[in-house]
Amino acid sequence: MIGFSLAIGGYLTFGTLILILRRGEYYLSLVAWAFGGAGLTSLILRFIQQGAFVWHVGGRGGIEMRCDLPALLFGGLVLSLNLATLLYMGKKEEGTFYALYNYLLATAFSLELSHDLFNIYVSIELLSLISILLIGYGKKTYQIWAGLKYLILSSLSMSLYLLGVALVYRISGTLSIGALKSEELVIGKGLKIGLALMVVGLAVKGGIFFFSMWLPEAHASSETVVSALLSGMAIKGGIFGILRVAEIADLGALLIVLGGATGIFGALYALMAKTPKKILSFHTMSQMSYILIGFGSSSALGILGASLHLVFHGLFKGLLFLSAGASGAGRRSLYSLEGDIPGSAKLGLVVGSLSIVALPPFDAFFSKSLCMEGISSLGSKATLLAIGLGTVTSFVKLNWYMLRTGTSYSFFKGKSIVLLSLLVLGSAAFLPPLLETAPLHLLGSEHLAESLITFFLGTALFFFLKEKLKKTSLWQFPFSLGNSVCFFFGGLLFVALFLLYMP
Amino acid sequence: MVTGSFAASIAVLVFAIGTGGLILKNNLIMKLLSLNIVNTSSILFFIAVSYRQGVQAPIIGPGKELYADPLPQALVLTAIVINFGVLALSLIFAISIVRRYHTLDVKKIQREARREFGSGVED
Amino acid sequence: MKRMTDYKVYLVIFLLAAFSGLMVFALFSTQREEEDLGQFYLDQAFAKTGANNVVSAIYLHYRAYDTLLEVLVFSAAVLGVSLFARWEKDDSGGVDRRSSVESSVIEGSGALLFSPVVLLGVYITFSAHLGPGGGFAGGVIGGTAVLLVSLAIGAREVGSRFNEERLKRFEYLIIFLLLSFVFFSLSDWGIALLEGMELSSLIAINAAIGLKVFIGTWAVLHFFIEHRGEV
Repeated sequence: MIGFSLAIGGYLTFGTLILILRRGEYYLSLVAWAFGGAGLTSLILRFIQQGAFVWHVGGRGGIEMRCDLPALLFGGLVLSLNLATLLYMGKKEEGTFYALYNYLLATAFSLELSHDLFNIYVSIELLSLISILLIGYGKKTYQIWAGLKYLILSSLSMSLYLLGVALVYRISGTLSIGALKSEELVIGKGLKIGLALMVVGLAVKGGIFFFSMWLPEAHASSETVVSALLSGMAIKGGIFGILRVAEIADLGALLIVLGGATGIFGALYALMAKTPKKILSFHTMSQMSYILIGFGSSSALGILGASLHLVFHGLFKGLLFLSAGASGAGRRSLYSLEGDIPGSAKLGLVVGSLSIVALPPFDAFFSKSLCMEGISSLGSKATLLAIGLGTVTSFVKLNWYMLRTGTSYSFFKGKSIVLLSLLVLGSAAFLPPLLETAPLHLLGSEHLAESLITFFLGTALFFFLKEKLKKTSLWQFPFSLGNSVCFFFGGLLFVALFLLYMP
Repeated sequence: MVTGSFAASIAVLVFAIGTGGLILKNNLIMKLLSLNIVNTSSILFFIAVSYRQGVQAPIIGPGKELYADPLPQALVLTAIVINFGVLALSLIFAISIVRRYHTLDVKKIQREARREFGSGVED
Repeated sequence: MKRMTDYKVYLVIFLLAAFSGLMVFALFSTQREEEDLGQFYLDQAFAKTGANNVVSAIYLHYRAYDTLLEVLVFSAAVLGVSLFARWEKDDSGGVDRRSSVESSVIEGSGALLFSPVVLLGVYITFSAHLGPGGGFAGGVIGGTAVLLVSLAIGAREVGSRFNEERLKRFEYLIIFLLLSFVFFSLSDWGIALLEGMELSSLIAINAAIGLKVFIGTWAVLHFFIEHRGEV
């Protein structure tokens, strides 16, 4: 518990101090980061001692919090992204930006530990509100519009979530997930509908394709640091919520179906997109598939792989967004790039791309291989391989066009990119304590062959489709506001019927 | 006899109407008002499902026996404040957009925003 | 194009009808659980906190962390409003001129009612443990008092009578103190230290929330009044 107070209290205190003092924002944020680190360390130490533990904020009858492996991994992600974006930002932003930034981190940290249905609601609403302010912070009108769309969809979806919580409370009489898990709850139809509502509400926040149609515009329009934080961290909040809700009942099949859909459609749209930031945003949606399918497989390896992918994706997506920002070409069309791109941006781009296509020794190779090992059905494996193929093609396209420009050797913004690249490369070193077998075992197995074959096939596919891709343009209609709502209500019905009538 | 389920069904109806308004109306302010209706109806739903018949308000006093469920009331206090925050921010954003694009029609705003973002790009 | 919109209306009606059907089915096929958390609170809260109003005991003691996050939501909203107010400052002056059509009824009653309404807000803030009320309700009531005065004598006039910067910093200071106190009271050693003083800490938190919401509502309403009537 002291870890919890240290970390969240630290972020909140220093965030508010920034508002009061209006000076020294950069240093206060660094101190906040240190407090966050101290808090996380204390939680890790206690976890090593006694395994996953639960406590109540406010005594008996208070709010339940749980610290387990996914929570700690998420905490590590928050801290890493914190340091990297802080280094990237330097001292250049307004004071209020730093304050909101710290509040965002505090909320993400709080969300990862939360084990209470209503607390998840409040944390996610706070996360959204701050995200929206950060999206609109650039003052450009298209950012404000993207933020407003996000606000509307987010609020609607969280109302849906609230309906679900109300139903579950009515049936079970409690809000804490621990109590819901342990009771002999009869998972009747009413409860299933409540769970469907909650999952759909969270899916809108979590970057799942038919539900989160606000995502591409919001992440592509915002400032670099905001995009990195949102794609790397805030999205994971929604997915994390789904994970917590899934502890109550067996939602495995549903998660796998949702994962498959978001993976394939995300990759397809990414192939058609033309600006780097849009491509990265669509891939955020696509990569959520690994996490969902891993969680849905309900096997220990699958869940571990999914939790790791949650972190690794945050790291390499953060790296890719920061590189896109540093390159200055984030919002320009790939096909009409000219001028120079800083070397550090190119480095980040290459490292991030190699990671997302799951080549060893980059981190995502391990998380994806673990997911593949964890799932047993052939259909899911085939789907993941297909998604991987699309990912490779898309990133070869991104690199092909971006690396052909000239290189300017200003290594500005280099510190943050180098940091993230090292993390992306070196995360594999953290794996041994988590796995029984050494991660090298994965290197020698069939997964290495899968990765290499996918890589070569994908590259070949790119060159085959190169001219065609240049000519296709995105279907914009699902991304308008009214249509997005239709899509996700349709998705709600699908999810509800799926849960009700699937075994 | 008005039971909790019946009242909650009405709340669901209001939710549906609000969502219909959100999808079908083209005026930005109408959409925001519909959103507010939706949020309020979800709060109503929460209170309605915890209905107990013939009880007192949950203020402990002498000689009272049955009390209403206090937990949903505490939770919706939080939800109301959150909705206030959402409403205020959405109106602020709407003001900014209208100041620059001079239209409240959502389709036109979307087109303008795409144009401004893309500056010639098809995306 | 017209056909497309018709189909859309039918689709929307279908989706929403299906949704409503689903929800109504869920409602009528389930029973309310009798032994729920609410009963636990009703049994324990008075003994533990000394507050008659169980709802206040819940959100200020048991679930104070949620309230903390909620105060942050409110603060973020107010922060957003003040940010945008700052950015849009140079634009059109709005309709807030003294000469706009405001009836003398509003002017007179605004001046008259200001004090009683603020007093009502203070009362509601502090009596939360005995009856319905609390910091949020009381703060908003106080905010509407300022709303009344702003409508009466003009938002510009009201705005010129206080130092905005200092007020903002005061508000943030309150948030800071509130956060620290709530965190303190929720941690293990805080609970031990405050043993026997739960009611006082409840009232203290309430007062801080009331003050914060008062200033926040004031800021938001001030902005909206000042810029009303513009397109």
